[in-house]
Amino acid sequence: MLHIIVCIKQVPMVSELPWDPRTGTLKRETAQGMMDPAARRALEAALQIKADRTSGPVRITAVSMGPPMAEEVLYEARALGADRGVLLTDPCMAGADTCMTAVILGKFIKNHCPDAGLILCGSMSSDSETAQVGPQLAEDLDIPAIGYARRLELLDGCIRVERHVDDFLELMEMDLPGLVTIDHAGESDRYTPRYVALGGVEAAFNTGNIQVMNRRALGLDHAFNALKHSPTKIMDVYSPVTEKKGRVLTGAVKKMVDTLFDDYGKIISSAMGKDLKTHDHEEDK
Amino acid sequence: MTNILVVADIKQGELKGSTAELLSRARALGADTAVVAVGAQVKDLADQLAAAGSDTQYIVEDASLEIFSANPFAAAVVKAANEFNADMVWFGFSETGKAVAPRVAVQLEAACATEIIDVTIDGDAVQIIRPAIANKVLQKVKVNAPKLVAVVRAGAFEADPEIAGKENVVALDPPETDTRAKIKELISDASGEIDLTDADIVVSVGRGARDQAGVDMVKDLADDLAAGFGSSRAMVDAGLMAHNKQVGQTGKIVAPSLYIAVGISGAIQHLAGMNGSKVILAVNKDPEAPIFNVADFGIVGDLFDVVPLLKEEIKKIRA
Repeated sequence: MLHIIVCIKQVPMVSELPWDPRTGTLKRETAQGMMDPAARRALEAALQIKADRTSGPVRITAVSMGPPMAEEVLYEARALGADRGVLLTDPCMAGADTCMTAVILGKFIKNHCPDAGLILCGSMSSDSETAQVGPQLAEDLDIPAIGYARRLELLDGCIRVERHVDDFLELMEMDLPGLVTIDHAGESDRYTPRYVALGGVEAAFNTGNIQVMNRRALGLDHAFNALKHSPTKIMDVYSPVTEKKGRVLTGAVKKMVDTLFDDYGKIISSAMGKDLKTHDHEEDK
Repeated sequence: MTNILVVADIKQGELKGSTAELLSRARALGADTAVVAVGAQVKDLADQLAAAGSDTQYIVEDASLEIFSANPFAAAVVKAANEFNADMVWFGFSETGKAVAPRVAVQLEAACATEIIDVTIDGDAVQIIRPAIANKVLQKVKVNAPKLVAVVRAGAFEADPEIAGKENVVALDPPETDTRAKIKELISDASGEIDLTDADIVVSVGRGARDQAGVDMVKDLADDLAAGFGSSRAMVDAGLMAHNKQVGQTGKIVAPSLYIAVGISGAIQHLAGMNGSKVILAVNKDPEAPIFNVADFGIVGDLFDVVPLLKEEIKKIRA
């Protein structure tokens, strides 16, 4: 029996991010939550492995660390086909950075899933975009890891992983237990997440109970304080000033292109590594 | 005094520009600098690494390091960091670097931060700035640990051509090879092409180009400029461009001196991958396209009319 652990983060729905226009900050507390898109793909990868008869029996545990409301994404994971949903939540876990998050997830896996064979994470969450938790978790568990996977294939005692990184297509094999992070959509999009009918989520809410574990249940030290022990702490989140007051032209194409080269000819030619020769407008003379 | 170790960004035996950018910034912060080069043939880069602004060059060279593998690479960087007594380890941006940095951080019991755009050191207090949520926000992050491992976002720092270090080469033993995760096959997606993340000029094509003929026309413009050629996600999804050409939040993050967006409307995910570019030119039919909000210069027009004229002008510069 292969036990797959899928780590899922609840993130704010970016398209509906409520902004406070006066302060220019994000009203995160009122943001609607959703399953991180990359984690959703990781869950899809697990579900496809489970559906493949050649994999043998597979059990999927979906786990999330977060506030009580993160329970929602675990119900959704259950509705999609995860066998178990576990929420790690405790006031002492609040403020955990990526390192402490990896420690908490690691504690859960070491103490409560000693049979874990494959751990799947999204490659990078859509809100913080750190791409750190997966590799840190692997290091914490002292298991091998492969990031940015596009395709998985289960072999005997190991897993074959296809990934695209830094302009290379790599085919790798990794011993199990091991950790893989699943990349965002690519052209050979194998892990496009399935959708679950609303009724399915409702049914999961009604029947599928989510196991909630606090610090004590998890086996963390009583002095554990994620905020205090996190090596990084976000002090401030603010809106960057990115809008430029550039020049946008409309009108006759030839005239626009001429103006462009009048204004930016030097920059273009220096970027090309060429000296700008005299730029003539025949018709101007 | 802060000791900053920069991990040399080497692709196919060539030292990439980010290494000098990071070293320049480290020196500007008043730090002692060293660089670590990991690979099958990196010894010969020592003088370049010194010229880029490092005062010590740790060389980890072994035939087994020909192909990148996260664990041995991380072990090599950790070894150099301990040797140098590094307070910080900085990686230039690459997907592989981003995969290694968190592992190095755990081994050094350091804080970890990816995609940083700035660092400040005030006595013992270290703060970093990094964007999040597709560049919608910036986070100011305090480092609560004695050490920091960071991945620097493309284009965040500028190389100072006046800066040079001194050659002091220290060879380190190679790490053990990783037997748990092995690369079976490696296929280059980009042989002979200009590296998008390191190009001075990037030309990107979007949905406005419509089809293969449109893409080819814009590619010609890129070739005339000796530019890297990228695209929006839509073109990758449509199968008109390879995945490794995608510029954006989930693709390549670029910050060239000149970025030319052709037929790209400028979805937030695309902007997140290129709005650090120094000068942005945009061509789009729609005057309301969000790309014009980040462009220094915009031409509202049909790219099929505009691109041929651009090519003509560029021909004049090349002549």
